[in-house]
Amino acid sequence: MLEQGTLALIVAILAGFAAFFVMGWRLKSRNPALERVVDTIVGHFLDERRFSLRDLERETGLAREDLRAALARLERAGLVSRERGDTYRLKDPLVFLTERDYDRAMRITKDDNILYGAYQNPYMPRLYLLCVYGLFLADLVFVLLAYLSHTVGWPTPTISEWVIRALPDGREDLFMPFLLFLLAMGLIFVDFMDNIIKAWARERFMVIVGALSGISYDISFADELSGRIRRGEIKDVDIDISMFQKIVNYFKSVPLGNVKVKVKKGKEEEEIVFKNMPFPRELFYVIRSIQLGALQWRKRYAHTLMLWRARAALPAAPSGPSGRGGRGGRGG
Amino acid sequence: MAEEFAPEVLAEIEAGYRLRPATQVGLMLVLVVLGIWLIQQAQLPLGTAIIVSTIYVALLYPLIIKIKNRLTIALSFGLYGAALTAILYWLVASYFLPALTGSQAMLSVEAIALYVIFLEIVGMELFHHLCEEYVFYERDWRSYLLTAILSAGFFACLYVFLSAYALGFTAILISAVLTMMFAWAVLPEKPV
Repeated sequence: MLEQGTLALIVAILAGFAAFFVMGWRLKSRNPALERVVDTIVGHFLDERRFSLRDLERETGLAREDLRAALARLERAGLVSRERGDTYRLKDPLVFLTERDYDRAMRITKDDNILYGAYQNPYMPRLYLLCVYGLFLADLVFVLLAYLSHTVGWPTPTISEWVIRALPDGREDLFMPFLLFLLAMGLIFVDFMDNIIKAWARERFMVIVGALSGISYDISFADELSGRIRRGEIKDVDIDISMFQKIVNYFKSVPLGNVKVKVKKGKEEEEIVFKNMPFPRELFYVIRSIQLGALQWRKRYAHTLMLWRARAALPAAPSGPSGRGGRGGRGG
Repeated sequence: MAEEFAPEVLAEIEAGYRLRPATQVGLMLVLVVLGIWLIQQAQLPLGTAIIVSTIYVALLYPLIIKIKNRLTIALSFGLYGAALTAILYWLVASYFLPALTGSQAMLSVEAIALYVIFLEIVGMELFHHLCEEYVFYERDWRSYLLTAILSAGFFACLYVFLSAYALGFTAILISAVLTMMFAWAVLPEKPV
């Protein structure tokens, strides 16, 4: 027979689970207005890449308030960005740049159609894993040892005594909350480190692929995309996902891999490697397509690509394009 | 030439990098059973074992399950609720209730401040971990407002704790620096 306290705990956990499950379920309910907006954007504004609220109102027949709400969600998903007034700009679904860097890329490529844009993660997974997870692991181990030291005297009472001495006036009542505080601060420090690494990578390792401009990439911290590979200079492109990257990709939120581009400039040939690029297969296909001048597939599958990227905004959208079957044809 | 790329584009973009759905579910089940067995081997009291198991499953789920549909996302939200409730229950039952009923000494203001910081951080980090679809990566007034409220709470609690050291102005300085770190950590960065 369960004790009353244990029963209360189980009931509380189940209630917490049920309440948030219902919330998650409701958040993912269908939103026909939003789906209609996506359909209209893909169907009418894919070429111009810009549209106004009035255009959208005319094409969808939806009220302005509904349109604004839908566009705000698409903006958060990174699919459109608001320009001046009620004009919006469409982003390619494979562009993962910040708004500032997207503007920078557009400016430098003279308003080219940017097909892919992201940042290399050259420190992934080595330094990243070491700093981010190693530090937190050390923090967790210390907290656990201090707790065990205080409760059962293992491995030695010295650890908890040292912690208590470090507390104000050696107050023992603060021991447990202080350990929890240390654990929580470990999490914050990890997040902080993560943001620093990302900020550095964004300034130093941007890579974009434009329909006409070819591949542009940063070569130093202060660089403005001076690394250039013109379309005609691409001799070959290859994708290289190591075993370690493959395993990490199973568990991390964003899949990464290396993409090698062989470049021929005059008589010289060199290989440029973009390390740990997000969605490397897609980058490979984009580079292949600009090399061969075959961009028709993009337009044909724009709807499915957009649905994939918009899945955070589109509550009922499936995880990938196949579930809804894009206009491009095969749905399975 | 267009057809050359079509199957790849049409195939589920992320699914190409992940384990097959059945493997994900299988691996999740194996790791859950293994984890709960290990927790049982530690011979913890039943209540503690339930709390640890709930947190373990909540931490594991988004790492293994990459299938994104209405059910898996709702489950993720559910696990967030379960883990948060388990942590809250543990704090209330172990520290707050005994103090209120008089079976333990009253909690000091500093202790309460540290518990609040812990709950704030754990609640936010668990949300980032389990409810990724609803983390606002594009910063807007809502994300700034939420960050401002959480940071104000963090600063106040940290200052209360550090004041116990009688550091004077240094307590404000340290609180401000750590709050800036906290605020930057709270503001979500895009995963790519």
